[in-house]
Amino acid sequence: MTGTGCDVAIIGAGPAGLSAAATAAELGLAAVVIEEQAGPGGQVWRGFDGGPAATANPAAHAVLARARSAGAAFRFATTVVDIDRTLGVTWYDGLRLGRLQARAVIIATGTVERPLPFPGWTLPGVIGLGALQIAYKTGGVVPDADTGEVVVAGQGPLVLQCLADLAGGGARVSAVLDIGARGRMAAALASLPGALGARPGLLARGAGLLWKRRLSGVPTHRGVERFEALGTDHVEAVRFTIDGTTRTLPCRLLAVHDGVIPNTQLPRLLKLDHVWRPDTRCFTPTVDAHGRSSRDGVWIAGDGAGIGGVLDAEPGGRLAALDAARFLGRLDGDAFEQKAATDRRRRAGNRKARQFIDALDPPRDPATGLDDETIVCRCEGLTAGALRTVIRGGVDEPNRVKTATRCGMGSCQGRICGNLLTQLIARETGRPEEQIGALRIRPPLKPVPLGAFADFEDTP
Amino acid sequence: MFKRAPSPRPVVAITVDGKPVEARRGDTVASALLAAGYLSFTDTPRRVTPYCLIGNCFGCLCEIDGRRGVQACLAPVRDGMVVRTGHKEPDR
Repeated sequence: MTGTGCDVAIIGAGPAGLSAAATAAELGLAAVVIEEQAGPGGQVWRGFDGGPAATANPAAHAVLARARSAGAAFRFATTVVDIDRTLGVTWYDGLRLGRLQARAVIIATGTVERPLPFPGWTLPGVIGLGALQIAYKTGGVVPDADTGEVVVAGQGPLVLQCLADLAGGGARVSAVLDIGARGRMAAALASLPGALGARPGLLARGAGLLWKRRLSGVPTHRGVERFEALGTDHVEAVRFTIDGTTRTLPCRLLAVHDGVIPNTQLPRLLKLDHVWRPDTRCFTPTVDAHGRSSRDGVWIAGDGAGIGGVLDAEPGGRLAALDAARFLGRLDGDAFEQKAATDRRRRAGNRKARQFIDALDPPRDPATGLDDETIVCRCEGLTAGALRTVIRGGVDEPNRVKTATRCGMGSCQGRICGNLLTQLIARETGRPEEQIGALRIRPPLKPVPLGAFADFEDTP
Repeated sequence: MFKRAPSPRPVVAITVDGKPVEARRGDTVASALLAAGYLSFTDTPRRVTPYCLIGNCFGCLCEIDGRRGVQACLAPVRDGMVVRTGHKEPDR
């Protein structure tokens, strides 16, 4: 495989990536979109281009059509495994390695579920709530309470959206455990006027989902302080505590959710600047108003630079592409200002709405009430207690803990346990997460067989 | 624990641990396995389980067409695909 080149490499074909591709291509830039999934849409628009759960999504079709007709190229089922100092993008498509020399890179890899460790979370039958939505969008596969109780334990805007989507697919849920802190509506009210002024439609939709959920008659238990999955070979029950009272419900499928966080594998591979955000309990790449990162030639668009939802992903993608075009000399300063103005205003409004939504469901502190017996590193089966012992012994930096315990060395390479490890160290040492830092990410981002390297010609 | 909403999509015939499983065009191996009653796709001692279904958690690794350690959630099903999880039977 020999190298090829482009002006802009866009990683991810969700709303932000597609918007960036359309804008870049329309400005005459050679744009290549690399997407790990088999088709476009990312997760929030998953399957829009002919999938089983395809619903009318004119926005998505329009953006894809614009990108294609303007000449953007697409590589699906292809994973980026490295980006080097010169912005050479190495990819693997399951058969071979390839290299694409870019002059600018826009990372649009979206979000992942915030890992929520609790006793029994590695039992078969425990799954992320987002995963249920994916199963529905991919294959029309939905939970079936007739063959075993289905319990949802979670908080966050996605809970309502997922429940509504799944109900639309014929799913029945036996009970909902609301794990959010009590009284958070009161705390969020301060941000409500700004949000109503900026995005009344969005809030109306949320209220509508709440009302639908109320009418559905699914029993909801609020103020859940602690919960655990019980069972031997698979989950059989969920035990939970509210106001000191403990109850147990039979359960064969337990879907959990505590919000979403940016996917930071690529930004950290590139050693971009990150800050620890205490409100979202994760490291987030620092970007300017157009998504420009701490490194020349690299932008982050969409939720990967901070959760803004799909409404913010499209303007974010456009702004990153405009800024990249300016960086590459394709757009002068005045033309840039003129084209960027509308999207900049749109994003300011989105931020106001987001403040209210974020205040509604602050994530749990995973280190609080984390039993020593609870697994933290799923891939290597390491418990909180095992990690605490090592940390208390003076190994108090994530990469040294990794060397000492294999935490973060398993298949997922720290994708699930990384933020948890940093927070555990923070709790044990009293030092802030910002100072403690994160696991170092090294290429390849995902496993590549040796044979692929043997055939790979690394020519620029 | 999972059922499939009525689907007009064509059936895709795969085998899982030697047993025939009906998937649908558009399925990933992961969604097909969930629909067929599998809650974990690998019979390792730690029972790593599918958690995210978007390629992030690596809990869906299984053997597909002789290749081991493949993320089932990123692999579209194809007629004749041979999947091995190591289970004697589904979890259901």
